[in-house]
Amino acid sequence: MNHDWRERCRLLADISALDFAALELTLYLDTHPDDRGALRQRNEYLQRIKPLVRKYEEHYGPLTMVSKADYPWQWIDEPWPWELRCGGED
Amino acid sequence: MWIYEKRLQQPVDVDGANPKLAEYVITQFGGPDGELSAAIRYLTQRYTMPRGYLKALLTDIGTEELAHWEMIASMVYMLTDEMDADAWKQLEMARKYAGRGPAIFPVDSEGNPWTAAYIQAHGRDPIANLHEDLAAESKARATYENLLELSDDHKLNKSLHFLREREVVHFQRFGEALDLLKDEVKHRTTFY
Repeated sequence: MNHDWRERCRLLADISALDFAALELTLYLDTHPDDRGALRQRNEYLQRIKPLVRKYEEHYGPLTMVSKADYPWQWIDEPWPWELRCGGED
Repeated sequence: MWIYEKRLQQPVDVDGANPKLAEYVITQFGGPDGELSAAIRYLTQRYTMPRGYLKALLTDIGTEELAHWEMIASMVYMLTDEMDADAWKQLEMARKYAGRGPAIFPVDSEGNPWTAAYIQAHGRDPIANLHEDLAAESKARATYENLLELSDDHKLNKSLHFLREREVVHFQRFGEALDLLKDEVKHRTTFY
């Protein structure tokens, strides 16, 4: 259980980090649309998230409302985001 | 349209229950310079903006603010989680428990409910909108600095620092958008 929690938090932290980097570049591109390097970097980060999301969803169920899901329907499973305490990990 | 992701933008945790701190933090959930005000302001202004980059920026930042709103709710939830009526009774602020129990509700630190009067949108004046947005980011940053002064919760402070930094970045992007727009209308050095 504890190991599982750590693993889940670690995976979420990796996904959050990559997604955040991509978001930051998305906002930047809104005012710098000609920056090819930023665009390439953004797309790279989004590519790197995919296998992590796949791994997360295999273990903990769908991450989004439109994720492909296996039986049984795990979207309803707890914890929901405000119940999952991951921030204490460095 | 929007698609929900079942995770926080960044992880949130707290050192322990602290209803007093929750009462301070709630202002970023439902106060004038809070995340709800930010999200609704930008997602309202975007419809009548005259350029694609302005619509994009307001959509993208407005969406990020919704994720911040959820982070704030998570902080308040964790700071008051597992407190029963007896625990509330010990506190001067037990009156808050009377009306809604432990619900997370959009009010400021003094209990005033969120109102659309906190925001504004001018459909024919994108420069006025952007000035409001820059001011909003500054005020939100100042609020996070107040909260960081009031909080001794180390885990919570990590999230407060993150959110404060986001206000700085959003301010930068809005400033760039304002510059681009002023370039177009040749108002760059005339401040009105």
